[in-house]
Amino acid sequence: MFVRPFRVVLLATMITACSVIAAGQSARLNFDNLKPLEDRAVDVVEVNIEGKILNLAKRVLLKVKDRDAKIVGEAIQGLEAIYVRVLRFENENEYNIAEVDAIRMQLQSPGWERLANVRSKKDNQKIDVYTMFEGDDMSGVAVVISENKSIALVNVIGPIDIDLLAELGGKLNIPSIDIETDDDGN
Amino acid sequence: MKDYLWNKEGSAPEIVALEKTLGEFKASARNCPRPPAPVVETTRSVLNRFRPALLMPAMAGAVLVLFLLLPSGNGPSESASLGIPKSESQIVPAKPAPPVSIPLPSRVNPTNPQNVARAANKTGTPIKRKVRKLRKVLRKRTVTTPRIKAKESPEPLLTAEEKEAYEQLIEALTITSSKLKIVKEKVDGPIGSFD
Repeated sequence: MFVRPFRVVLLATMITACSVIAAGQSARLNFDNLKPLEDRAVDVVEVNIEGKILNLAKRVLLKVKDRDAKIVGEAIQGLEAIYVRVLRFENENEYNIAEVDAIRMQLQSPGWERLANVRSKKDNQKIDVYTMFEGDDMSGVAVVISENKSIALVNVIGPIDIDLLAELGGKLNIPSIDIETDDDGN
Repeated sequence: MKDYLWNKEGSAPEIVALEKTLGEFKASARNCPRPPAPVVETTRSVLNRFRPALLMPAMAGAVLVLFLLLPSGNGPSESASLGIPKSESQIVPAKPAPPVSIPLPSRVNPTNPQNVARAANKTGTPIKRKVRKLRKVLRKRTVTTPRIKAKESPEPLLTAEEKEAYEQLIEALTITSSKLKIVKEKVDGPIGSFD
């Protein structure tokens, strides 16, 4: 009589834990199917920042004596990772849209919520913005933009202030920093 | 000698009277002069002990230094340069002294007499030069604490790793913010156009 409720509670806890872990993992998109496109692209931008490197960068951002840097640094304190891919092609239709749609399919998995969906005939522009939440906290953001000559993918893991970043509009007035090198020039 | 000394025998009255008169001055323990006190060796410092020995060389050295520091007799003396003969033997038409050319450094203005005097001092006697060298060496040996000027750098100095991480993050955030701006413009555009 007393064993059954305990088992139910234990099972529910395990399911919740597994779902949380699964949700945390699913915020990461798989960009592997873009590898063949990188060979065809004229410009490729690939940024993967996570773990120790991200923590290091966050500390530097707070160290910089600049107001904007401090605002951004505080806005991304909970950030866990950022993965960015930007591919630009010389001519139109140099890539198959199905390869980008495969990534969009990943955003159909549970946990992701569509925030914005823009379709424009001009340049065949397709914009998708998805967010993932764990309770009230944001755990991930995904931005997929495809045009005739370019593809842009942004995958953010962890909470981030989207409005703040959108307001910055790609103009982070963060100063460049002098570099301290040792005698070996490293 | 035995003939001279009287051994209180015999009957010469003169001798007896003389002996009595001189007997007052005979030797006794009371009036006997004391032997000189033994010379006790007092402790003297080594410098004091050798003072007389050092004095002469020191004086000789001082004289030599004075001699060297005084204007040398090779060149024309002051009186000679003024044309005043010292003695009659010197009233001889002397050869005109060769012009002494003092090499002046390029930065010294020869029109300034102070600079000329300073430059002239540079070509002093060997002793002076040695003294100057010694002073320079001593000046170099004195340890002076370097002045550490607090440099207020507006930006922190970073290691290569920190710089790379920082740049990557800025690049990622820049791209992310620019793409989000595009989305925002697209989403807000039609709504704004209706206003």
